[in-house]
Amino acid sequence: MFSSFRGLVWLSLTVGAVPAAAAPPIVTDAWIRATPPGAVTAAAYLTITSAGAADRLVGAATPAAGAVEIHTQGSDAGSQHMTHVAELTLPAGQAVRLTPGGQHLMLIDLKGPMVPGTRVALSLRFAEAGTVEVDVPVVDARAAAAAH
Amino acid sequence: MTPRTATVAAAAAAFALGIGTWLFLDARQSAPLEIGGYVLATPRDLPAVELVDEHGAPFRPHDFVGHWSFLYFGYTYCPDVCPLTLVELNKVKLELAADRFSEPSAYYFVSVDPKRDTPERLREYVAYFDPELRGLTGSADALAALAQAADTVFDVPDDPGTDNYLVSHSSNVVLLDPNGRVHAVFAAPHDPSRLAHDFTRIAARYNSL
Repeated sequence: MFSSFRGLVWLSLTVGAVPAAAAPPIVTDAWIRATPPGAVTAAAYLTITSAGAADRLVGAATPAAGAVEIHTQGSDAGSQHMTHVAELTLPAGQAVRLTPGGQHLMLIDLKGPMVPGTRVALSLRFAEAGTVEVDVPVVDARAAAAAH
Repeated sequence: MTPRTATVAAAAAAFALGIGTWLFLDARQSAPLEIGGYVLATPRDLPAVELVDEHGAPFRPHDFVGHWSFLYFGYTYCPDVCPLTLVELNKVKLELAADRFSEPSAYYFVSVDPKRDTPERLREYVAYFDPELRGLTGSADALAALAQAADTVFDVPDDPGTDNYLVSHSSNVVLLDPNGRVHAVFAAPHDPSRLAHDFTRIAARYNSL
C-alpha cells in the first residue's frame, strides 16, 4: 500500500568507486521530514533491501547538509538514546526499515530548510554494492498536511 | 511478550504495588485503568520552579492549574522523535475535538536544552506544529526538578564541544490533571487514537471521584 508520500522512490543507479559485484540494494519508501523554521537538522527515512548477498550501509551524503549520520534510536527505561552508528547491517533479502521514532539518517548542518514538495539527492554508500543515488521527496507529515 | 506489552505490564505491576493498600481501604475505587502507559496511584505535585514560556514570560507550575495539560519533553534540534511526537499530540487534540471533548486542555513542549532553545527559537518551533502549542524551558536545575516529578529523564552533554550535540530524553507524554498534578504517563510509541481514548477514560474517572 503506497500513499503518495510512501511511494516508490526514483532510483538512479550510478557505478560507484567500488565495483558492484552484486545487484545493488533496493531503496523504497524514502522521505525526508520537512523542517520547522530555523532547523539545522532533519531526518531521512527509507527501506533498504539487499536483494542479493548481505551488505552494509556504511555512509551517506547529500549536498543539502554538511553531514549525514546513521542513527539508531534505542530506548532505555523510557529514555530515547539516539546513537550514531558507523554502519547498518543489511541481511540478504531482508527489508531494513528506517522509520520515524526508530532508525533514521540524520542530516546535520542543513544548508537550508527542507521544503515540502522538493526533492533532495542522497548518496548511500554500501560496503559491497558501492554507491546508490536516491532522489528523496521532502514531506510535511503534520496532521493538517496529511488531511489534504 | 512484546516490548510494549512488557512496558504496560511493568507499569501495571508498579501501579498495583503502589495502590494496593489504598484500594483495600477504599472499596469504592474500581480497578486501575489500563492505558498505554500508567496512571499514578496518587497524583503528584510539581515543584514550584520558575520556567519561561515561548514569549520569554515567567511560567510557574501553578499556571498548569485549571485545565488538563499534556507535556512532552524534548529539544528543537531533535530531528526525529520530537517532531514525530508533536505531530502525534496535535492529532490527539484534533481527535478530541472531533469527539467533542469539551474540557479545557493545553499542550506543552518543554525544551530540556535551554542553551540552544531560547524563547525566540521555541516560539517559531512550537507555532510550526500548532499555533496553540506552548513552549516552555528554564534553568537546568528547574528542568531537572520538573522532569523528575514528571517521571521523565534527559541528559544534556555538559561540554559537547560542538553546537550539534544530541540530547537523550524520555519519549513519554505526561498528563497533568486540572489540579496541576502529574496524573498519568503515556509511553511511546504513541498512537493518537489510543492516547485520546485513554485520556477521555482518565478524565471521566477523575470527574467521577
